[in-house]
Parts: sequence; C-alpha cells; structure tokens
Amino acid sequence: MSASTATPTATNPPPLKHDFTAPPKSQFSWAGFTERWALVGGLAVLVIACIIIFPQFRTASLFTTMVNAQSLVLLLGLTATVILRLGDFDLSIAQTMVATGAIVAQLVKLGVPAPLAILAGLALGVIVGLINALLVVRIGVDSFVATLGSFTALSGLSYLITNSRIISGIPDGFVDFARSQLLGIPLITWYAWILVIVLWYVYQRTPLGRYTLFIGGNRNAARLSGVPVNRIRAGAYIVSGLLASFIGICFIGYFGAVDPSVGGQYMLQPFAAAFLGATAISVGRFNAFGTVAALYLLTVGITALQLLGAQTWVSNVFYGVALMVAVTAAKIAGSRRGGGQAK
Amino acid sequence: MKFPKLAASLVLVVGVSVSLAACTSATGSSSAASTATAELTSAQTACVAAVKADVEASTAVTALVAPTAPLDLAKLSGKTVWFITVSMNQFSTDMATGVQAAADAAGVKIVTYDGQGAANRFNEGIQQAIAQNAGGIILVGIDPAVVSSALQEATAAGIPIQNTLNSDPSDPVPAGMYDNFTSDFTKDGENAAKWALVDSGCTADIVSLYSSSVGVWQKMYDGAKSVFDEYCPEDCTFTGLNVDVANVSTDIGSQLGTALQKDQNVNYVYPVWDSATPFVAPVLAAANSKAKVLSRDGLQVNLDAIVAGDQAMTTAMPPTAWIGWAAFDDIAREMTGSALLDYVIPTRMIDSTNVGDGSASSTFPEYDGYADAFTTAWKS
Repeated sequence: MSASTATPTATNPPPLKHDFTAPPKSQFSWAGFTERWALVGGLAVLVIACIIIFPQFRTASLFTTMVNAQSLVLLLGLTATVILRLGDFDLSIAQTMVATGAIVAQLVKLGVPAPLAILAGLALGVIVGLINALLVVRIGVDSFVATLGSFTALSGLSYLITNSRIISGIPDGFVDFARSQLLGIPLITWYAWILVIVLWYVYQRTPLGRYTLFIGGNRNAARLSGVPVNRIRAGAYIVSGLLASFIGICFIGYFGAVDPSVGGQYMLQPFAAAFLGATAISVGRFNAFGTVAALYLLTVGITALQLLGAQTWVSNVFYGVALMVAVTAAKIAGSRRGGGQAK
Repeated sequence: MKFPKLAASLVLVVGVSVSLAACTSATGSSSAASTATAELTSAQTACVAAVKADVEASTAVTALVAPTAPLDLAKLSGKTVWFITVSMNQFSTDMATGVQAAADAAGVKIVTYDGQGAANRFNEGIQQAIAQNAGGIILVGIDPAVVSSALQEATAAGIPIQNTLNSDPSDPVPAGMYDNFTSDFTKDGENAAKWALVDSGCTADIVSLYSSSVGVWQKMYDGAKSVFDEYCPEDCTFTGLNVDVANVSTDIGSQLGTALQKDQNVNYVYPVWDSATPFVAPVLAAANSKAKVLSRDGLQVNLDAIVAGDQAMTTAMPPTAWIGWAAFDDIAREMTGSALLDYVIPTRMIDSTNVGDGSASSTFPEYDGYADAFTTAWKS
C-alpha cells in the first residue's frame, strides 16, 4: 500500500510518494551497524567472559535454567510491544494473565472440561482487550490511565475468583503444557521463542507491522495517509488481551498453582524488557529480537552477579541502571531517526 | 498476507512439540528424593541422635490451646475491633474468618481493613480506627516501625493494639502495643533444620529462601542456620538466598536456578513461607532437581502437596480460624482489663508420616471443636 502526503502549495509540486509498507532502504554505515548490534555484541562478549570465568556457564543446564526463569517475562514483554509500537500502553497484561489463570484453574477445579475452561480464559482476554480498546480508542482515555484501571480491576477480580486463596491441584495436562521439555528446554520457553518469530515477521515483513510503526510515530499523519488507525489500535488491544490470556494458561502450568497476589510482580519487568529491546537491532523501535537480546543480556549479567555472591540489591541496581542507560539510548536514537517508537 | 499460513505452521510446530514432549513429561515422575540410607559416620550418627528428640516432639500431636478463664462479655458490648492486615492473602482471609466468628459469639463488631502491602495504607487504617473510636486493633504482619506515629496516636487515644505474627513471643513488645501474639519463629526454623538433618542422616545440602525485609522470615533463616552450624558443620551445607520480597515470583526463579547450578548436590529447598512453594516447583523441574521442599505455615495447598508427595514437610500452625479466635480472645481480655493468657501460637511439623488426609482433623486432631472451648471458657 502506498500513500501520498497532501501538502498543496502555491506552485503545486508533485505529491511526495512514499511506500511506508516497504522495508526501509538500507545504506550500510559502521555507526549504524554498531548501534544496532552493540547490545547483541555485548551479550556475546558477556557470555564468553562468563564461560571463561565461571565453570557453571560451561553447562547447558545453566542456560536452560536462565531462559526458563525468564520465559513468562519474555512472553509478557513481547506482548507489551504490540501496544507500545502504536505509541500506547497496555499495563493490564500481567493482571490479565493472572485473572485468566484464576478463571481457568477455578473452572477446572469445579469440574468444567479443560477445553471449555481454556476458552473461557481466552474469552476473558478478548473482553479485556475490547474494554481497553473502547476506553482508549473510542473514548480517548489516556492508555496509561485506562489500562492501569483495567489492571487494578482485574486484580480485584482475581481475588474474587480465587476467594483470596492460592489455587493448587492444576491438572497435569496444564503442567505438561508449560514444563515438559523439548530438547532439554521447557515448552514455555519454546512458546516465547515462537512468539518472537511471529512478532518479528509481523513487525518486519507485513504491511500491518509498518502501519503500527507509522501509527506509533505520528498517528495523525497515518490517519491522513489512509491507514485505518482506530481499527488497528483496537485490534492490537484485542490481540494483546488474547496473548495475555494465553500466557495465563502457560502461567498456571508453569507454577502448577495460581496465587492471585502476584500480578503486580509481573507488571513492570515486561516493560523494562521491551524498552531495553528498543535499544537493539531496530534501534529506537520496539522489536521482538531486541526484546529477547536485552532480556537475556540482563539475565546473564544478573546470573553472573549471583554466581559472584552478590546481594539482591546489587542485582536490582544493575537492572535499574541498565534500564536507565538503555532507555536513554533508545530515546536519543529514536529522536535522531524520527518516527521511532521508544518514547 | 502470508501471516495466516505462518501462524498455522507455527501452531502445527507447537502441536508436534507438545506430542514429542510427552517423552519428557513434567509430571511423569515423582519429585521426591529418597531418604538417605547410606551408612552413617560416627559424626553423622551423633548429629542425628542430638536432634532426633526435638524432631519427634515437634511432629507429635499438638495440644489444644484455649482459654481457661472467663471473659466479661458485657464490657465488650457495643465495641468494635479493627482487623488490619498487611494484605488480604489466603492466611489473612482465613484468620479474619476466625476473628469474625469469635466476635459474633462475643457480640462485638469487626471492621476488616486491607493494608494492600503499602505503608501509607497501614497508617491510614490505624488512623481510621482511631477516628471511629475502635475498641482495639489487631495488627497482622505489619512492622510496627513503619506505623510508629500512628501507634503513638492510638496509645494517646487509649486503644490497645496487638502485634500479631510479627516477632518471637519473647521479643520486647513494641512501643504503643500491648502484646506479641505470635509463634516462636526462631524455634520453627531450628526444628525445620533438624528435620532435614534427621531425614538426610546429617548429609543435608539445603538452600533456604527468605527475605531480610520480613523480620520473622529472617528469624526462621537464622534459626535454621544456627542448627546447621552447631550440629552439622562438616557434612552439611547451608546456603541462604535473600530474595526481593516485592518480586518473589521472579526473583526465586532467578536466584534458586543459579544456586542449583552452582551446587548440584542440593537435596533440600526451604522457602520459609508456604506460598513461595509454587515458585520453587518450576525451577526444580527445569533443573531436573529432586530436592525435597520444606516450608512453613501449613496452608491447605501445602498440606495437600504433602499428601500428593509433591512436598516433604511444612511447619503448620493450627487451623487459621483458630488463630483468629485466639487473637480476638487476647485483645478482648486487654479491652476488658482481664489478665492476658500469654498465648503462643503452637506449630507442628507435618510430613508424610503424620499428614493423614491433610485435613485439620488429621493434622491438628485436638483442635476439633475449638470454638466451643472458647465460648465455654468465656461464659464459665
């Protein structure tokens, strides 16, 4: 699809044509290359250094443990990018995950067949997405505020559904769905990696991915160019809700229980991962592979600190400083490029 | 657009993956490790002998703790007790049920206030209670240091405040409060460690998860560590992981995963509170670890896990509603000027040998009909 900018002047120059659905034309520059791959290179250097220093890093099991521990955060971080690319927030994803887990677990405990319970859980995600879309896209409420409201309401709903209790006794099928291993790696990690590829494909190889970037960069310009801005934004909220509810099903399998109080613990880390990811590969833009690379860089760094015997506060400082540095870098890069997403 | 085709392919891949994964099912094998049966050295034998009596005592049936003195119910008429809790988790909800039932039996009104884990809410709750002329406040799991000024205001208003499950019984009562209504957390930590020593034949390699920002967790950790230091300094290993209490679910995954890689001989994992155990399970599964899980509190979820063989031991408190009754009895006596009965919330270590069907009747058989014991004593 192509669009023209309507800028009539006295001399009526020919309209500018720009096919924003096409991949960007690339002119190689070392500066750009370094900027794009610095974080990935940093990850590689850190891993090599850790392999040299720590014997534990020479075992596959440590890598399995690291990626497994970050699976839920990665899934949520990737989901967060769906809305972040559009210049909005969806803070409700973590609590949608927990509420979905609570509904599915409770229904299964009540004897509802698992497929029906799963459908009910996915339906919750769609409903949350629709409500968020209604508030943000249709009514125009600020996305941060609207989805913070959703988050809080879903938190209460989770307590209501579970009667403020931890629900255990999740059927083995759910546990196997998340924890069974393929090539020594838990399935939940594979789901995250598959989502990375799907989102990379959508973001980089489809017109829809270009539209989201365009909308995030300048919503009014996108609208004037004929992009169905509201439809795409509403659809993105529904997709975000649906993905979050899918993660909720993974969540109950992963832990084998639902604790209604943990939603808040998953609220900020996915966004940290997404913002960090915007500093890599497609610099200044929320992207799937960047999110993975950034999250794993942090994980390797924190694991190394833990192996060195660092206290918990050291890890927190490392995480926080890395986030500040990375987001600042993304902001600068995004400003330089224009149309960037990381704000 | 090619995306639907790609999505369909990926769904297929996932489906195939799930099928393949049946070969390495996460639920296909028991997670419980076998008890050490190897020949013990003289040091190990001595170690086991030194702690075995304490383990047997703390796994034995616990006697009912109930009041023996009457309560002047007439003095309580028209009074209101505020139940302010750090958050309305499963424990608080169950305890509130007990407090409410006791208050109903005594003709007292209860106001439940959820602190939502926020210090400003804790202070606000106490100030609301003062403003509404509360007769007494049960403050559950809230560090008195973060509400010190509100406590001063309550003291000035003559409102008694109970320090609930926030200390050891022998700790000094914080300023502005009248009593520590609690368990002996240090002793619970010691006994859990002794259980692991006996169970392993004093070859335990244990990782304990706690948070130094929660006072009673630190006490349990210190208690457990002191036992390892004293009885098994050579043959055992004790590692502590101080987790970030605000990010328990993710921090446990990260720290425990690394610890299991650092020391692959870990055979016990001891989160000092029950609700952490769901976060431990996936880490053990991913690391293919057969370490046994110990914890504390005795939530029904954990008792059920012991019945199912998914957890080895929990240090259980009596039925949580009983704690509510006892807490109410304690503050009611303070409100009426009666002598306090110096309750200490008892605990019992529950493992596969004494869990029965996991019900309260199995684990605390002496506590059947505890409510009658309270009401009978009140009217005696």
